[in-house]
Amino acid sequence: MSSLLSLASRSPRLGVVVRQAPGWDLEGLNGRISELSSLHSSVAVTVAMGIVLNAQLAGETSAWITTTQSTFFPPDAAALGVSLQALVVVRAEHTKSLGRAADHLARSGGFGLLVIDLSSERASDLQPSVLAMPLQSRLLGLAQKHRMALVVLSNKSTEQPSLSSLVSLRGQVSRRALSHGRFVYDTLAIKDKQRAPGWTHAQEIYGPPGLR
Amino acid sequence: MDRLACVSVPELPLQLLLRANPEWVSHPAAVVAEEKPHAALLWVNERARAHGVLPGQRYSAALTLCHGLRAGTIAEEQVQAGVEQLCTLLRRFSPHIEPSSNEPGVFWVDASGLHGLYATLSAWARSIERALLEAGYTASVVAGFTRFFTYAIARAQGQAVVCLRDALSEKAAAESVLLSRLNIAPSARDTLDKLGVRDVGAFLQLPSTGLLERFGPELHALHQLATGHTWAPLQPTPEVIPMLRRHLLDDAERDVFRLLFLIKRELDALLVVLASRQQALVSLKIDCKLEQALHYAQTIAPAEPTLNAHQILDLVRLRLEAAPLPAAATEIQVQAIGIAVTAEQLQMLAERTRRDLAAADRALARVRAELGPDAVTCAVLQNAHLPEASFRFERLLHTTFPTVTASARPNAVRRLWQTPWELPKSALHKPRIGPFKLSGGWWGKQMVRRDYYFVEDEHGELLFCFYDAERKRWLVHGAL
Repeated sequence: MSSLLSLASRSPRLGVVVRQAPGWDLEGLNGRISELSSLHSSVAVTVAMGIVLNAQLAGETSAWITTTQSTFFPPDAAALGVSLQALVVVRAEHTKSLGRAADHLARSGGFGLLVIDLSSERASDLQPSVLAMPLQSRLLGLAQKHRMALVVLSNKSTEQPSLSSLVSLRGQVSRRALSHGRFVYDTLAIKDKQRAPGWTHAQEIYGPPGLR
Repeated sequence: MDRLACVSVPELPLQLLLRANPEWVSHPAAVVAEEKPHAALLWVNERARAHGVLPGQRYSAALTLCHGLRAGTIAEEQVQAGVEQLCTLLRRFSPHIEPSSNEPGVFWVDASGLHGLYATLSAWARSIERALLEAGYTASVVAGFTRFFTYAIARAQGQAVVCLRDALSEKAAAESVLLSRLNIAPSARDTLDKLGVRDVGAFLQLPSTGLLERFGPELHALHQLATGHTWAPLQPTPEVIPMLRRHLLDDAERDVFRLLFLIKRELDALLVVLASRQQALVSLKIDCKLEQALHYAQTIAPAEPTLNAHQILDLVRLRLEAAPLPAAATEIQVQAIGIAVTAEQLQMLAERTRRDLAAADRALARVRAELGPDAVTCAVLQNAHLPEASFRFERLLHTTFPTVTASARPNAVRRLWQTPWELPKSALHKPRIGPFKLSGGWWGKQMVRRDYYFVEDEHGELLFCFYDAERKRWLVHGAL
């Protein structure tokens, strides 16, 4: 029913949007599998956490599924405004367990957003079996059934293919410096089954203390 | 030139008050701001004006002028409902209606393009006046050329229909209208009166800049409009389409569950419209045309305004089972009656109907069963300086709805590695931003001191690293 709600008044101010492009808000991600990829495993974390904040502002429950090797830095997430108490963090020993955890959470219908961090391990090559096609197919069906957004973070270049054909939206995140301590995070939609790809969502973001 | 008309339902709030108190009709009457002796009068009728009672006066002062003055208050919602009712009525005569934004009861109506429907403009204007009378309102209708002059002439007439031949005769008729008939702030009206400016003609002669300095922007804007220095096209309010959906059945249907399926389809569409208007459903009217020229109607009202389709359909099912259709239905009409809700109330509706926290908790239990008791956590901040000590992951048993406010200045979120790893040799000689000195464990045996730096590696990634003096190497702790 959140699709019935106008989220305009609740959208987070993720800085000055240099070029506005709807599609990376929760409404645009509901009911589909989206992939946020970047050359550097950390760049997409900021954009993904922005989506978490967007979901929380809309009153949705969220979960971040990652391995114990690395995670988002909670003080940075708290400074952004994310409610850490309301953000479920599932930490598995191995990447291959992430899909199963996502399956359990998606099946319940109790979550509006699931973020699966496939780039939390330092291994640069994404194991194709991590999110096997049958699992992705189930997750897509559950996302559609429960009007849930499923965002997968991956570490790859623009030329590398998406997780699978079931990925409805693929954004490649890059960062460029504006001035001391200020950056613009560009998310280029290189695949979009609902609208034509090629649009960019740009956000002005401040660096952590020390970079400002 | 496009023609427009001004329809003035004089003192609409007072007319609404008199409809509720019909025994006051033959008495001087007024609407007051609040039920207190010193409350200001907002609207007065002609009988009160004849005694010198004017809007802006205190009720206690007005009583000294007119002992038999009746007064009461009227809620803003009632006035707004009256305006909407009149808009709906006037739409029968023109598609474009613009209600006045600051004077309820004044409407500008597009009079162009109606030659095919009415023989003359005055016939059209008289039919409007007749319709308003039948609805219980006294009104004047003035068909002219400009907003201000038609308004002034309409306000001067108590109940009349005037059709002006040309712009000159319109101006001439407007110039003799007294300013006390117009919606001008009482203080400005009184001051102008002392200066001898009592009618529209004298008002038009005043210099515009002097008005701005002496009386402020509102009167200046009115003067600009009156003299034709500002002009705005008619800005009609859009017609509010009733939330009604009709479904014609190919084959007559009497089965409750098949009927429910059809009703659900229409209900889902109506709920989308309700939500877009920021409303929730208070009642659902179901009208069915049946075979044998029969008719079936039911009204379903949930316990509280809702947008929950399942809840509403359940009530519909119970009603259909308790009061079955006497014959098969050939047409179903579903109408939703909504009530405005705030964004916060809509949000609460969304929370209650959208996510099942108990189901989420059961899912977390399954994850714990499969991945171990420490797998399901939430981050908790700690009062420490070293990055790994500034938070911990605590076991989480229950999900909760979030309460958040976005920060004023959005910031980047770093990735932090559980075990720092060695900085690649290629980045060793890259420029570093820092040092940022962090330390911890002062109270223990082993104090930890680190100088953190930001280093951009060959791939452009900003690494958050420090120099481990013990192991004599650079370690990456996080990345931006």
